[in-house]
Amino acid sequence: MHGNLLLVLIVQIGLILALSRVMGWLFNRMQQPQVVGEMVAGIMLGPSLFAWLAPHAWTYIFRPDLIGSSGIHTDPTEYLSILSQIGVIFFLFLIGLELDPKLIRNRGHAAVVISHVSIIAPFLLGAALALLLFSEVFTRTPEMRFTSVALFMGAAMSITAFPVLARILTERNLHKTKVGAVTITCAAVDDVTAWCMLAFVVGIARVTGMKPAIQTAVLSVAYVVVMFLLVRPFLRRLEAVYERQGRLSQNVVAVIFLLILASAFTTEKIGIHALFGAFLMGAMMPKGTQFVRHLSEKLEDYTVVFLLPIFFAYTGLKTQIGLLNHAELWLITALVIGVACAGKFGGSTLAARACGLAWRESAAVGILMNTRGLMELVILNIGRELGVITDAVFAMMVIMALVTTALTTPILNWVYPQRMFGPELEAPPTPTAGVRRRYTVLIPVSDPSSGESLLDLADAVAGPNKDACEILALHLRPPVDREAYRSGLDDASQQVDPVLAPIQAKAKAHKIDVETISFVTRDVADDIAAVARLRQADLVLIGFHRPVFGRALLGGTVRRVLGEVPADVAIYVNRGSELPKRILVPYLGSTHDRLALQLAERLSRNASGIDITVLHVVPPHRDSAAQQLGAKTEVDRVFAEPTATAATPASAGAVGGTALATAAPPRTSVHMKVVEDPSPVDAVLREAASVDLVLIGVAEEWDLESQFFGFRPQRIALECPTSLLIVRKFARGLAAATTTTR
Amino acid sequence: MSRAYVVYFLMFAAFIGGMWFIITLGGAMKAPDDLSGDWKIAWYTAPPPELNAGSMRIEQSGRFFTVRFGDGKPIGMTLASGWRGAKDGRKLRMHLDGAAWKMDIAADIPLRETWHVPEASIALSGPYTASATATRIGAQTARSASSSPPAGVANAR
Repeated sequence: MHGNLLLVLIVQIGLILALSRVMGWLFNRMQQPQVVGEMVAGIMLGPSLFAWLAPHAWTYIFRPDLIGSSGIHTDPTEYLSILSQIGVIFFLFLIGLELDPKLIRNRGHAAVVISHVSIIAPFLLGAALALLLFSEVFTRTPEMRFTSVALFMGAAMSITAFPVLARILTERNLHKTKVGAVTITCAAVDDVTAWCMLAFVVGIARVTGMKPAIQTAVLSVAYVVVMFLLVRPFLRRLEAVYERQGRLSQNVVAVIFLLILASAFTTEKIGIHALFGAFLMGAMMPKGTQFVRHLSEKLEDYTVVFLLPIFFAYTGLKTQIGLLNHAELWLITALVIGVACAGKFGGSTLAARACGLAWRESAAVGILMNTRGLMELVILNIGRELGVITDAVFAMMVIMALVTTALTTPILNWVYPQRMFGPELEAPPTPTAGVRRRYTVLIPVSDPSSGESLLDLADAVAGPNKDACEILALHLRPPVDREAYRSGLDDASQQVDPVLAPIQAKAKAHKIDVETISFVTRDVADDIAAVARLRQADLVLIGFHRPVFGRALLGGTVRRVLGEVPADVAIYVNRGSELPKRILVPYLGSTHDRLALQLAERLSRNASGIDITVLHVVPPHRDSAAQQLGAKTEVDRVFAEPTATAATPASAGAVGGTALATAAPPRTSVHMKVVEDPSPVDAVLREAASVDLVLIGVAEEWDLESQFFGFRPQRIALECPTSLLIVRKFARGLAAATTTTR
Repeated sequence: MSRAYVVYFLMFAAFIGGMWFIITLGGAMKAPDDLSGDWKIAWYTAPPPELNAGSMRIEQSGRFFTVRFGDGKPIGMTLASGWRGAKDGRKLRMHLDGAAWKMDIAADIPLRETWHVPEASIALSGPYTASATATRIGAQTARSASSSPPAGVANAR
């Protein structure tokens, strides 16, 4: 390869990767599947946008062979084409790998009917559409015979993007619902059927007589038989080698790669396209084992991050939206979209309804089945490569794929909103009259290492009386990159969440009653608030998360939790101490400070030997007796009339000097310390050096500041040498505001 | 046989029957002949100033054409009804309508099926009238033509 050509390719691929990541991220932020962003990125790089806006720059980057002085005489997009085809071959192998035969075997009656109708209806409608469009947007070429066109249009209309659909299901936690189970089964069936259908359509389009057609059919059957009888047992042996070695050696990976390529080569030579070979090879692999998991991890990043964006870009380079330069062509595009939706959405919805699902659930199944995504682009590229569709039809169908995929999430949110399902988030039954509601502590955990300390603290706050308290451990998993093109069903269906596993182990060892909740989320703060609301949490105890960017101590998710959760919130900054014995509560009189006092009281009630110091800082040389009296009264009130079961008297000491001893519960000592200091923060930091935990309320003004939660607590949090619990009292007004904005 | 099996049988029968009906009906339909590709132009008359070029590129999707003379601006045109092509005999007759320009194309279809007419007469009318002979460059097909840079892309050669 000429040196300059290599540079050109590097620049092209760099641009493609950068734009596709940015667009994927942007569309993800807009609650859209990442694939939609990457499809758009591909179109943006092609003649529809980049070449249209800056033709010279586009030519310079993508077609330097057209510039006489460039010294390049080969079209570099041909290399992109080859890379993209290799990418799709490996991607189809991954899709086959993901195929779970259990989904297809254990089908219920509803899934059988819906899956068949969801293929037959769009196929028939697509073929019928070919009748309308054949003399309008198709041309008379040897490849564009009506039979090929009708079969291709039918196949293209009946495709469902299994990975995108499964991804949407897992992200919305729909995969455990009836709708999710039915849809995922139908999509799996559609997936297998679609690639078999495609092989058939490609065979029809390529052969020109009865003899080659019979030859192709016989060879195809022979190929499938060989795959089942020879290749599948061989793959099981490879799995045994993997298990014996305990790792996936490069030799085993090389053998599998060779098998993928050989399978793709064979099907291409037979005449049913290389992609079918790659898909069938993936489908033949042993399922649900570590072997397959490791193999897919090895392949996935390179295929999905590097090769697939090239495929999108190549598709975009061939998508000329400018060819749709007549109003009539846009009307035809609308018709194509309408027929695609009518066949897939309409067919699936009616079939689901006929099987007894409610209208709303049936519509949800239809909407999900109407997702086409990347699979549609794969099939369209094959059609274009075969010459079965014109460039204008290709552009129309790409728009249809984009529209149907992009519409899925918003329409699903509208038709089947999250509040209508969510088995894990179901609110507990309303307590009957006379039965006291349990004090509920919710601990959202994102880092496995922080879970145990949060559990210890939650247990200390909740207390030993299991009838009066409950602890909920919550792990919200943001969708990981790897799942972008795969269902993520494996991970979603895991029985034990690895992040919650240490908590479960500790809870079992210490006989702590903990309920664990785990699901995939797009918005962690929002879902913490939702769980807190549904489970009527009294306290949300969350770990400290310093933002990667920005100087604020608490930002991002934690700040949003502070703002949105309809319950008291405590942020635990663990600086390594065990369960606290000496607690300092700086008290200035705010509602948040009062919550800090209450939590200190709860901690003292549930453990022995707790030493609590309530620190009240007053400005020097000022008559602050009234303030001191207020603080003392509050301390007395909290420790004399604790919020829950145990009522213990508190006795106040005398203000002045350093200490004023109060006797709280028999095993606890509570001291009120009043100091005069111009800087309350310095006074707190001084006292903090001799305690295990500082319990501090957020400043009253915390929500007015964009990133900070109050200057004083901010500085204390930064400089405090010991562990810290920053608390925010839930105000009812906040709840009302939160509820109305939802 | 249970009712479910009957429903399935009817569903698949309807599918097969529907496809047979569609393919049979579609077999009688005709799509416009393929004129897409690069053509060399020999003008009979003085060419219109803005279309004065020795080559022409046609991008075609059925009835919808985008014609570009040399590096000029692409002209969108639509095939008028009543056209005749290979399915109607050995004479190709097409009339293309555009916003400013109209083009009549006439060609003889070779005896041996090549799927492409090698040469055609074109008559332009609009702001100017002109006529020329267009000869297909190489044996380019629709596909190879579309792998060339799309309309609107700078050709800086």
